[in-house]
Amino acid sequence: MIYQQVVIFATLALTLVLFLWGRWRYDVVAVIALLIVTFTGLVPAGEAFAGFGHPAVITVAAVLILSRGLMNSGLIDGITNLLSRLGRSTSTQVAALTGITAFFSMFMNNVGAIAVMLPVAVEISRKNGTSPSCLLMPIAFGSLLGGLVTMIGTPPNIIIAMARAETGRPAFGMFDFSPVGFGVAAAGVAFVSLVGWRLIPQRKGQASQEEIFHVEDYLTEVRITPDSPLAGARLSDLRKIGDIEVNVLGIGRGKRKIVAPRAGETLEEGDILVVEADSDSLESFLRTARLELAEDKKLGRDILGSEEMALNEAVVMANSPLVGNTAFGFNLRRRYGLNLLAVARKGSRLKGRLAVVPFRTGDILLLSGPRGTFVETYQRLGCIPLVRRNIGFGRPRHVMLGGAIFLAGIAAAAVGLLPVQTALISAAVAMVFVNLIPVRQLYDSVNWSVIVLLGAMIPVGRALETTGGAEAVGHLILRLTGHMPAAVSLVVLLVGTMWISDVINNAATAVLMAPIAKTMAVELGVCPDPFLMAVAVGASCAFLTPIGHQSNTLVMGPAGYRFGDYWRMGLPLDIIVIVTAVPLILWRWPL
Amino acid sequence: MIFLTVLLAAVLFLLLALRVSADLVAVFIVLALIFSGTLTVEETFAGFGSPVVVAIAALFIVSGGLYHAGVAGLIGRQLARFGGKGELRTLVIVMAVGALLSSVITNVAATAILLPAVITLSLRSKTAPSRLLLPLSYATILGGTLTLVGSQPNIIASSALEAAEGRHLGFFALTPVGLLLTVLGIGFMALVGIRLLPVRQRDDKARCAESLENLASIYRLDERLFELTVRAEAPLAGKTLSESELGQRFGINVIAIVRPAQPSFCPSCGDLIRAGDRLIVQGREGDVEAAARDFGLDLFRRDNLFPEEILSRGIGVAEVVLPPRSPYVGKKLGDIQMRERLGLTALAIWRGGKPIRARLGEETLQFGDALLVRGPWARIRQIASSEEFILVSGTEVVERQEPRGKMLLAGAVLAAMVVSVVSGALTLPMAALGAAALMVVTRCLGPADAYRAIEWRMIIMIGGFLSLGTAMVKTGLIEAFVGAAFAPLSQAGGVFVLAAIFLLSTAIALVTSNITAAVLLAPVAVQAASSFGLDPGTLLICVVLGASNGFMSPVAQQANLLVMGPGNYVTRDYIRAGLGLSLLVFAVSLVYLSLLRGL
Repeated sequence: MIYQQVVIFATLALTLVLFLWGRWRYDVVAVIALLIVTFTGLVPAGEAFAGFGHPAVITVAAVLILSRGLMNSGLIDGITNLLSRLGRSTSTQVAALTGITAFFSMFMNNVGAIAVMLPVAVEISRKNGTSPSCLLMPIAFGSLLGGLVTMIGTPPNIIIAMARAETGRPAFGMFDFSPVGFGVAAAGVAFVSLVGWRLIPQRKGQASQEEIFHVEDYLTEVRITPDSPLAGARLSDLRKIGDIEVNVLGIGRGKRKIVAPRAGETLEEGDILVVEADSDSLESFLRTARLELAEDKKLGRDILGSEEMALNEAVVMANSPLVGNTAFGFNLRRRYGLNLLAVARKGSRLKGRLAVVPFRTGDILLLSGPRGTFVETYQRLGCIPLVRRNIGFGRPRHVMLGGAIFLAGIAAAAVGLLPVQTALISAAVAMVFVNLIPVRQLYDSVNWSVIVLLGAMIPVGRALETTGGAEAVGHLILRLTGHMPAAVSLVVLLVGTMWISDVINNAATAVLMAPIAKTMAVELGVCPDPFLMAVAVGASCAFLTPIGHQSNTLVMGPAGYRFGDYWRMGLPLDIIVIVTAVPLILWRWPL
Repeated sequence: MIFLTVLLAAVLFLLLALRVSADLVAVFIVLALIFSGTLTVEETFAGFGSPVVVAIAALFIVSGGLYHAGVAGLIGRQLARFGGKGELRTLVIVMAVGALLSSVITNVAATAILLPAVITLSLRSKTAPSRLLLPLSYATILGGTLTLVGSQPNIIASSALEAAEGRHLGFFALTPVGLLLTVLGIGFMALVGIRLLPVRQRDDKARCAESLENLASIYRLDERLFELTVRAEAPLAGKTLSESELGQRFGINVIAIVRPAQPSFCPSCGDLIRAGDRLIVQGREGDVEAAARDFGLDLFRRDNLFPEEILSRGIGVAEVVLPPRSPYVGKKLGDIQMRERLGLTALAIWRGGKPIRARLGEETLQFGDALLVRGPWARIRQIASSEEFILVSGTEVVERQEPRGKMLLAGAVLAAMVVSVVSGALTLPMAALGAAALMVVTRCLGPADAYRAIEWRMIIMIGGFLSLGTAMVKTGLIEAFVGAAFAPLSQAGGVFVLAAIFLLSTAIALVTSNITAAVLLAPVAVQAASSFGLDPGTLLICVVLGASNGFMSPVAQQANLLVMGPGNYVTRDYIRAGLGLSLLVFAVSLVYLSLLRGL
């Protein structure tokens, strides 16, 4: 037993270090943890993969598919469009945005809600001149708070619901989380909109600039002189005259404008090239190619915003295939027809050769591409648009149908007609059946990294329980608080869960803390429900760091936040959560 | 039990009559089992968390890692370098390499990787591609029986054995019979099969860039090309190509804008149409006539438009096929915006032995389609080096050259996986998952690429069908079936049971897929073994070999489907070339299993 406990704690320590180190993504780390516990015999080989068929995992997958269906139905857009009439008061804007985000997040996954609301918030901030740093952290926190309200709001709730089934009682139902969750979410949203946003430092993020990146500043128009080697040459010959890092976005020839010219385009004397280059490259370009500057800013603007081509900004999400790749290596231009004009990271524009910089999560890309293809391309690239204009919408909408199927699924689960995973899978199938989700989008809409993380962590969590590791941790906590009322232990558990969740994935937190909560309750001789609820609340409250939850990471770039900005609003919010959650838990789930 | 029989019939009906995709059928099975109360919710979903599913998913990642690290590309290049002296020799080399590669990665992946190299070889050896591609696909199927990880049915059988007996099939358990079958199969194809393969002479040169008239004439493009002259008062004059709506309204594809000063052979959607321009368009005669009427254009029908007008400098026509798991499968051609995004124009789709030329934009792309595309050579070469399409027409195979270190690393990971399974240190699912994690950790492929390497439809399908198997065992359907169907046979001798299982497995594989056959028949084999006192290992290997015996149908194996377009095959060809091989595999398998391995 001692050996096994040593192994499990060593594994968990290693996992924690790897999570924090961040070199390998959380799902890879989780698989490594699973391999270790299986190889050392802590988990019987036959059960090693049971996690992938665990009800919680199936439910999470179903919720992800349903979220996509809701987005496709147009229901979400209908609601967000109402927001455009908001007033100029920052408090009102924060309240409305955070409230709506929390509302969406009750029924969708958190990142789905933030992906929908981010462009809305950026638009509002640009229209009214509100700093995006006032709006974006509130919506990120709103998505976390909203997740608390229903069982399907966030994976930790699903895990906790199923964990209760393992104590021999029925799993928590769809709205069992609501009394506590709604109270906490309401208090949190109220705090954020009245006081919280004032605590956030004002940052100049990318989203704050009206015409972000000031594209025109980086565009230069040059004219081909008669003695230029380029006259009569092809565009592809540009490379032959020297190692020049310029990007030709368009050509003006008399009245004619050539947008995104092909490499074989023949250049003529008198052509005006619209090029993107930094000043050094431009200088050498002008010199070697014997060109002259042409003052024609309108041409550049026309080229960028022509009828076929549009500009759009996008945020790189964590599960994007771009992460770790360069624009050059990923063939952005030829595979997706997109021109990468600029990359912003941590609030400032990257300098130098963009094509060779590996992308990171949260980077903001300024792209030009064919109008109307952005939605589709972003889905494949795992990016979300920062603003909604220019991207166009692809499909007809079925607002009522989408809403009805979703509600039917929720209702069937809530009244206990069907087990929750069955109800949600059925609803997802119905959405595919009525073509709200095309079959080819089905697998793209599931964030597999979360599925793998859960599938791999669930056996690890079980190993923590079977080896007595959970008991040992429970003992340790109770040694400090055991002589005090059980409510104190509850508070300690809640705070501990919050802290862990601040540094590692919230679902993983729930998986690991659930067995500890159960053993603590057993040890104290009280009902485990309040302790499980405390873990559910704590796991979703990752407010102190940008790495605790993907929602936080996602808004970091657009708002220009730094690592240390999060706790300023997060710490008071944590206190609000504790102050509201503990009495509500004790009232609804007495010890 | 009755319900399950009905469900089974419904499943077959959905798969065969309605052609519903297998993953949706699997979800249907899952829901039906739950709603009928045949299985508990946990039991039903347990299929998705079974070691088989994890192993198969992880092996997709391992394959993906090998591909991304350039190991597979290297093999393709070497094949193209050393093959190609005489048809017979080329065929043997292609088959041997295909079988070897397929022994460690999935059949369809091996075929996809070698496809461009084999086309190059066929050009060089002046052989029709149809003489080499089906042998390649057959070889990868045969090679799939060489090791435990060679194809998915092997893994399914191994896990069924573990559930029944608590022991796995060893990594090399299939190797003796696999080797025998592969060697005999190659020999058969070289001696007999080669005479049965069709010579779809798309003319040797048809694949070459220089004489594309032939490629075009295979697709019978010339019938569909028209020339329109834009009159001075035409409403079209002054509009860009995209504004003209020739594509959306009439399904017409503008291939070139010809004007004396500056002919534009690969127009982009922003190009202006001017009065006096001549448009070379492709479309249905009626549509073109309608467009000419509406837009004030003069219509000419010209003979032999291809050579001088279309094959201008730097612009070429090439044939590409969709790779497995292509994001474009199931999309309309018009929706993938080839012209805007890739700078290429699709001229025709080759499907089921016939070209489709009109209203291409509304055609939904299917796996196995070959596309004739036109555009600048630079672009064509670029898409060949991306993973978007596999280029099958004549230019050199352009491969990304990956650093050697990555290749060694990926090879080492694979070797470590094999060693750990062979030595018994790890079970296959563990080793595969470990290898998959190592591939990601060593950056042989990124996490997002890893997920893209997994064929999720297959994963969902296997998960669902496994629960159907569980339900059939639980309700006693399998036992009843085995009792009724095999009891008389078993009295005649174990070899008859073996033959029956083999043929049943082949039959299911031919009409659905090899994986369905393995998932459904593995419990039957286990039950038959315990009912009649036979060796379950032997019977399970019999299921695997039967399921892999799908040479006669393009749907039984994805590898067969992949070569259908490029090889210009029709269903008949598979039966003709595959019948003999199927019989050979059947006979050899039965002899080996009953005499050498023992019942």
